[in-house]
Order: sequence, then C-alpha cells, then structure tokens
Amino acid sequence: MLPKRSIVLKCLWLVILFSLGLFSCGMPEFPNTAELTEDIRSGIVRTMTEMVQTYYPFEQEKTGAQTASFTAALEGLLSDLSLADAEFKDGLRKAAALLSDGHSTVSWYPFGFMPGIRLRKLSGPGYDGIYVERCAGRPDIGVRQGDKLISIAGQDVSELFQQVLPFVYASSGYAREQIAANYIFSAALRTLPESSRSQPVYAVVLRGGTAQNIEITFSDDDTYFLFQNPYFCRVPESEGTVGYIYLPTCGYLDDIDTIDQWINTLMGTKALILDLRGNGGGSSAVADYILGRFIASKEDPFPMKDKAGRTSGSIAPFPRGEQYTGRLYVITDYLTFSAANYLASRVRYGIDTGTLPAACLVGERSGGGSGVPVSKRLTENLTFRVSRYVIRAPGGSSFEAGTPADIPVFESATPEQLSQGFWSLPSAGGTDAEHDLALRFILSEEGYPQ
Amino acid sequence: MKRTAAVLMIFFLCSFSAVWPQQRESRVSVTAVGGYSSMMPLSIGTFDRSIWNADAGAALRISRFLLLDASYTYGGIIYKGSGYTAFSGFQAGAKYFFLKPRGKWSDGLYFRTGIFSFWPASFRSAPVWGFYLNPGIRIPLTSHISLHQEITLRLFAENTPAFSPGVSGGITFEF
Repeated sequence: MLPKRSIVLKCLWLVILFSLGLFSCGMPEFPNTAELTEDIRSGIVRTMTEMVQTYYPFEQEKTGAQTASFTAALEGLLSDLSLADAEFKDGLRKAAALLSDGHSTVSWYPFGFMPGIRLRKLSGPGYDGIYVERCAGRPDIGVRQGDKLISIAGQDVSELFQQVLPFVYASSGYAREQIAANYIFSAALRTLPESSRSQPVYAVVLRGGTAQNIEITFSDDDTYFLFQNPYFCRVPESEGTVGYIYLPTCGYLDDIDTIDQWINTLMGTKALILDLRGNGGGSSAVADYILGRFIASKEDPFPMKDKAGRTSGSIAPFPRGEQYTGRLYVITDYLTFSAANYLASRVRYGIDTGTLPAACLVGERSGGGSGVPVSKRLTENLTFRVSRYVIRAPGGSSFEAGTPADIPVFESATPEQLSQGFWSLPSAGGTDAEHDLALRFILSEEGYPQ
Repeated sequence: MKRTAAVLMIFFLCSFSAVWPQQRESRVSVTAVGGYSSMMPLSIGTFDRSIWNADAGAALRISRFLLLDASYTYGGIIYKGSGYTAFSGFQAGAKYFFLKPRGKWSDGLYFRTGIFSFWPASFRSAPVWGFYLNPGIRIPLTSHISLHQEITLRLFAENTPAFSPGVSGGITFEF
C-alpha cells in the first residue's frame, strides 16, 4: 500500500503535467527577430509557397494564373536583395493579393481605413471617381459628403488608388476597389515624412462642380462605423411594424442567444431587417443558428471541399425555436465577408430554392470569402493566412466572389445622392432611416413613405 | 447521438465492473471527472448544442453525510456545424449522501449541488455562470478508490439562460 503523501504528490504531478501539456500545445516556432535576414526571407517565401501549393482550394474558380503570378512575385522578392524590410513585406502582401482569395493575406497593414471618413468609388454615366460618403458629423474635418477627391497632399487621387489597389486582398474586383478607395488617405499620409503626418493635409476636391482647395485634419478617436455590439430596434417605433437587428460580427457565439431573444421580441413585426453591413465574419455557426429561426426544415448542407475536391465536413442551418414568418430583409455591403457572406449566400440559396420565399437581399454585392483559412506564423509579427477549404453550394458553385443583392441600392448610388446626404452605412440605432439608402428602400416597400 | 450513446455505454460497463467493498469516510479526496451534456437555450426551447467537460477537483468531508467540493473545469461548447468554443472555469458546492450506510449499493447515492462559472473564449460576455444539481452514485472499487457517476442538471443564468442535462463519470482517490 502506498503512503498517503506519495499518492497526493503523484496526483499533484499529474495535474501539473496536464496543465503544462495544455499550455505548451500552442507554443510557436518562428524566428524571434525584428530584422528579416536573407535566410528568414527565404524561409518565408518557401513556407508561403508550400502552403499555397498544399491548400489553395480554388482551382475551380480561378484560372491558375493566380498561383503562377503569386509564385513568380515571391521569387522576384528573393532576387532583389536591395529591398528594405518594409518593402519586402509590401511585396509579400501584394503577392498574396494576387491569389484573388478573400482570405489569403499576410498580416502586414501598410494602409487602413481613415477614422471618421468613409469613401466610395462611384462609376456611372458622367461620373467616375472617389467620393466622400460620410465624414461622421465632423464639419471641421475639411471634406463634405459628396465631395469628389482630386488630389491629397499634392498627389493625384487616381494615382494613389492605383498604388493601393495591388495591396487589397479580395476575390471580387468590386470589393477590392471599394476597399482601396478607403485606403486613399492613409496612402497619401504614408508618403509624407513621419514628422509632418500630424499636420493638416491639403487637398483638392470637386464640390458642386467647382474645384476647391481644402485643409483636412484627422483624429484617431473618431470612429463611427465599428459598432462593437449588436443592437436591435423597431423601425419606426410602434407595434406591428418593422424590426431591425444589426449584427456587426459573427465572432461571438453568445450573440446567437442575444439575437434569439430579440427575434422573440420582434415576432409581432411584419418584416425584419438583418443588417450585415461591415460584418467581417467569424463563425459560420452564428449564421446557421440565426437562419435556423427563419426556415421550416433543415437546409441542404454546403460541403467544405479541399484542393483535391475531397469533402471535409459540411454545414447547414436547421430549424430552431419559433419560426419568424414575416418578411426578411438582409442588408449587405462590400465589407460583408466570410461567415457573414456565408449567411448572405444561404439567404440567396434559400430564395433560389424556395425555402426562404419571403427574403430579400438589399444593398450591394457582399464582400465574398467562402474559404475556411489556415494560418501560419512566419516571424515574430508576420503571419500568412491561406484558404484551406472552400464552402460550396450543392452543384459545386461557391460564393467566393460575394453574393449579389436583389436590390443594389448602394451599387447604383450617385454623387447627387451623396451630396443630398444619403449614405450606405448603418447608422447608430438603425433609426436614421432618413439618410440610409437601404432603410429608405425597405421602409418604402413596407408602406412607410420617405 | 452516437457520441452520447458511447459515453452512456462506458458508464454502464463501469457500473458492472464495480464491486462494493467497505466504504471509507475519508476526510479529503481528489477527483477527476469527464462529462457530456446537451444544452437547451430557454429562449428557443430546443436542444441545439452540447457541452463536454473535464474536471479536476477536491472534496472535504465535514460530516458523515456532507462534503464540500470544488473543481477546476476545462471543456467546450459544441455548436452544430463549425461552432466551437473552449472554456475554463470552476464549480463549487456540496455533496450530500442522504441515506444511512447499510452496506448496500444504495449507500453511495448522493446529490451534488452548487454553482459554476465558465469563461468561454468566443463569448462576448464572459463569464457565464449558473447552478447545478447532480444526482449521482459513488461506486467504491477499493478502500481508497471509487467511481462516481452522475446525471448532471445545469441551469445557466443571465445572458445565456439555458438548461443543460447530461451525464458525467469520474474517479476519486480518498485519503
């Protein structure tokens, strides 16, 4: 018989070893250095090439030229020994974007959306360019809604646009252009000396048909479009009308329970708006669970296919709880991506197959991204992500390039509409229907004249 | 469903392998437990997800019938499709043996009740917490080691109100 102390010690050791095992599972193996030496660069290129060769699953959608250009671009980076680290990372980012995949990218962000300003590329008869869509209620910022940007800090905007376009990873040209349009300010600032970036930037805009010189100032605090929490309301505020749920992300699984409770509350409404604008994705389970409140029977599964066409599981919504039987409007924009794009594609599939006859997609083509990615850390602060599986509808098609809207109110927006104060963005509380192009359309459809 | 059936089968076989030696009334014991349960959000009334958990805990006997216990929990909530979130947390409560020892199998019947709190990784509002009430049976294998099998009944409170029935089984070392 073992003494008690011995048993206790053995149990303690077991607990300690178990804990160490848990925490050591994710220990990274990557070069812990800030400088990208020739060996590290070579390792990065080799790893990225191998990952794409192993995983990239879009043989059906793409022509093959994407992987060839990707490989050639990476090899070109290795042959140019004069590149600084930042230039090398720029090259990696541009090479990954050549894959035209909504998920494949390198975690290097030379450009970004400018806080407080949302831009939109508009093309149509008599107009083509990048316009200010909203400036977050900041009259002091210099630009006004509806301004067409001509130059910033002495640089031509169309040239800046062409500079940033190769950095944008997206599977649809439409999403790529809209995202690139929003990188314009950061691209202009990047060319300035670091010491002068906090100073006002001079720009030329076309306002009311006249070119004007203006001064632009920015504030990092001014973020208006990244809502951290979902919210709901009735539009307008009365019983039996239209319910509105804004879902800014699919990244939190407990949002399912919150939204379930809201749908219960909105059961009496005749229509429900599910706003997916700016939703960058998360878990497809959030999409399936929410859709489960709108379908009467289990939907066809969408298989996840790898490069060789093998199926690795499938996903599908299934009926849950009391079904919402009113009309369903889903608002999408070019930032509706990944799991949110999957939700939109499920609605599209339900409309096409008749399982969601009372649904309608409003807004614009969603951002796309139907891949299931895998990531690998290349260096201390550089990660490469590539799609490993692609989610396909029965029949083999994917929604990698986004889901088109039934009512493309944003794609058909004009400079005049922007000048008049309309925008394509979700507004706080969802109640500013007066300016929201999507809400205006939906409420008009439901019998509320705007 | 197959997974649940497999878990139930293991518990069933464990019950038959057990013998009923003289039970000890040890002061301190440590336990390792594994469990599996379904989960029904009260907002929709449908079992639409499941939970697995592995616990490591200790208990202190304070009377012939009553033990205080606490355990560290690691596990995951499994959503149909591709949803999964790992969690860690703790449970703390009391275990009550409600029958006087008569040298029969029924001596091992007990209720375990208390509170739990989990920190799920993919949840916006962490932690989630609630109550449990688990009827169970202690099956002694030797004078120092016993198996425990429970029907777990969890009630999640606050932002994720849900009912979660399931089963769990574990092994206890008594000192």
